[in-house]
Amino acid sequence: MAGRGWYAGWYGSLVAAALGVALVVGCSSGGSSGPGAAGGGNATPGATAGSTAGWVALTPAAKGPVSSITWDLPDGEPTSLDPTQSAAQPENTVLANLCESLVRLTPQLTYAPGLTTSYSQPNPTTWVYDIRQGVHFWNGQPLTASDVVYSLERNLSPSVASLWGDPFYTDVKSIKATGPYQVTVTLTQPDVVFNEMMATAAGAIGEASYIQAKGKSYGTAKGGLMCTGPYELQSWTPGSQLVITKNPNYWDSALQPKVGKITFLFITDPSTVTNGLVSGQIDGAYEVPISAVPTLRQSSVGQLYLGTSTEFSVLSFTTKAGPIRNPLIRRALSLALNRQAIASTVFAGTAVPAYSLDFPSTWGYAKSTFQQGYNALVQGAATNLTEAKKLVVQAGSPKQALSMLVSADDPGAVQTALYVKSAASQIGLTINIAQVPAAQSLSIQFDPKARVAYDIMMQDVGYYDIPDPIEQALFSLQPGALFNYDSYTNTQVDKDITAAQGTSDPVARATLINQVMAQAIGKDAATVVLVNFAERLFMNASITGAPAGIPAYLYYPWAALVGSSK
Amino acid sequence: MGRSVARDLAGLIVTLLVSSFVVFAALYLAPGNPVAFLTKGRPVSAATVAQLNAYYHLNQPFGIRYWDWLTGILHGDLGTSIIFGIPVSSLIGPRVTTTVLLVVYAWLLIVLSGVTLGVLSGIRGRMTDAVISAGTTVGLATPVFVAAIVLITVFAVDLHWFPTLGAGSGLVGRIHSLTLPAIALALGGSAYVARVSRTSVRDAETREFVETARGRGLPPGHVLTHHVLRYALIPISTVTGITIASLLVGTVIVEPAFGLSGLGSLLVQSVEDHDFPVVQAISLILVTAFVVINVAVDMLYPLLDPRITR
Repeated sequence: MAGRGWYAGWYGSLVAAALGVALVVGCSSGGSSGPGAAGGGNATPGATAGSTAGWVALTPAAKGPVSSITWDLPDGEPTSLDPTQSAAQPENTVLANLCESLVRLTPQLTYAPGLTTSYSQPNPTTWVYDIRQGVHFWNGQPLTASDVVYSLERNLSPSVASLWGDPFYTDVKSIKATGPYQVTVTLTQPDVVFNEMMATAAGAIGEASYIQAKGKSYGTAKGGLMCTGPYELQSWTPGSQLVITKNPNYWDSALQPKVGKITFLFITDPSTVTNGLVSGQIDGAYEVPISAVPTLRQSSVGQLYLGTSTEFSVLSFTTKAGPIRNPLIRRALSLALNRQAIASTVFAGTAVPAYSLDFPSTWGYAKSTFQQGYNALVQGAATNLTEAKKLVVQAGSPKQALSMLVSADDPGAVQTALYVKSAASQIGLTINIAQVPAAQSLSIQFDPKARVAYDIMMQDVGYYDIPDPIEQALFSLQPGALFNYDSYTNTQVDKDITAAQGTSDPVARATLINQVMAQAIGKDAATVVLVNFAERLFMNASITGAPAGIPAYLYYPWAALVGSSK
Repeated sequence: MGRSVARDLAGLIVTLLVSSFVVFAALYLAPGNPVAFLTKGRPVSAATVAQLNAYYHLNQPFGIRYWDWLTGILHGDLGTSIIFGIPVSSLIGPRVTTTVLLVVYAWLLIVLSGVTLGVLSGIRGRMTDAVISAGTTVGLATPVFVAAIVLITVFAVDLHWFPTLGAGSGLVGRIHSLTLPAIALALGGSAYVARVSRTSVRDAETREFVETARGRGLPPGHVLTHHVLRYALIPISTVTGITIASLLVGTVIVEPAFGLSGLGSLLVQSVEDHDFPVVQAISLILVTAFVVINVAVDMLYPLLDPRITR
């Protein structure tokens, strides 16, 4: 603007003023003050840094009814509510309140009768389930053994392609109705895990004739569901919302819902979720984004809870030829890591270090046996740079750089990857981080041919469906197992896992698992576990009661415990 | 006129064919497999993968898959979403309303505020011009997501004048809920239109016919509307037509930020998930919309300037 000196002055200061106002407004609102700032908000129950001791299984009991609440699913919209296709948080969060399983997993992670009144194991390869009488589906039809047989058998069908089929149904020989209210499952080898999985969506029951009528559309927005749970699926507008309403004829008098209607939203953007919770438009959510934790801790609109959790993050390795194939290098990397720093920084203090797949939160039985094994393992695994450097030298001090795949859309994963890279450089290993968009990294993990381009994969979220360390052993440590990305093979480990799978005695099973972990993780570092992080639940101050832990809310009808706080 | 309508229609069909082919090919070539997203990355047995690949025809050659899709479209069948398992038409139906309302709302804001501010800036004195130019600079420089965050924080979270998310229900509710998203979307386009309006109005003012009209004693208001604006409106209408394209693109950012379930958010998600039928359907809609709007703008010219014939 030549020749307009005084004009430029006005102009410039107006622009600056406008931008300044926008910046000040954007930064000051929304409570961006860090943890430790005075004023406002309540202490987060369960927030003792570095310890799971404060992680809670339940929130204060609800006092009265509420007509309707809005709940968000920060991991997005369910793709299908068919139990055979429901093996992720969005699906199971909703499904847990709609369809029930044979066995019920309680918020305290114990097993209780669900749609069965009792179950027994007359011999190691047979499970007998006595089906509860007087239970009706939402359409009034009674639950019978044939519905149970039909629902379980779907997990064996190749055309259904159930996500639970492998590995949990691979030992099933037959599923038969041995009475109008009795079902017998015969296995090809002893298997206690099958029964434990009957407490998850793997054992969810729907009405046979309804499923047959709907065919492929069962579980979709078009086909709906027919189950027995405390809530019914009322409507599902894809992309917008999903509504469930109270089942007035629910069989369990001890678990009658207090909330009449729940509207699920599918907001995934972290700042939109935070704004929704803080403004009260969303009443509650599980898995609130980590970035929201400081704001939600301060907020007086509601309460952030840290729940008991079997969630963990790991480094997985692939079959790519190179230094990472040497267990000495993998162990060295594990010894060099500062897990406490990752827990405090990346997870805002909502995590604790974990040194093996059988970390303490997974001990659903034989706790003292697992404690002994874990303590021995931790002694050899705590951060020790000197020992780590020795191992690198022993392995021949390889100069080849390692590549690590990280999902670029997850700031937590990227931050963790930087910690790993820095730990590696301290012991003379070079790691190149490959940041890849989330959708692409998902595809790569899924495709054995694509994975081989990388040595290490940063895997953010795994969780146990059941409180039994054997589950992850089955997923990761046996040849051909789904998550066994690096084709880890050890004959003794394989034998021990199969034996443990068939062992009913808790102490004996725990002893076998200790052996498995000592070899596979302690000596061979088949996978490097980083942290165990808490479940993050936020509820508006007007409601309370929801179980706070995972996997509890994935398979227990959590919504039936929610109600008003006054 | 009959010949040119036929020509426009033929042009639209060719454009749709070419763009649908390009989009399908691009998605086909991009790395990734929809089955990975169906199972949320949870590995499944090779048998299951084979089963799913066969069911969704993912193993067939490119040509056959494209042909299957094309013949389906010609029968009015948009196909079934791989990820959601429901017909694409039921996935898209409710979202079209939201996106159309949002884009039309934003476009009205752009036209009204952009043209008004631009004209004012062009004909009024230095102070007005300075203030408005400063404002348009901020508007042009502010990315859409920054505008969204500021608007939500101030007007929704702090002042509670608007909801923080969602598209609302009922006509009044929807307009209320779409106001902040429309403003966020309209900011850049409005600033751009204001700038162009200012320039073309100033250009018009220097023309001889305007001086002549003033010299003949015509009232200033009449000169403005019948002479200055008639002339300035040609570049202005071209620009407002083009901003629709940027609005359609902008929905991809604005919709997720405001928790709106529209075509923009669905397009992003479907491309990531490699949900072929959904991506194809939305691309068709967007290309059609863009072509139709451009044709409409073209048809406007002869009305503004009789010297231009079609």
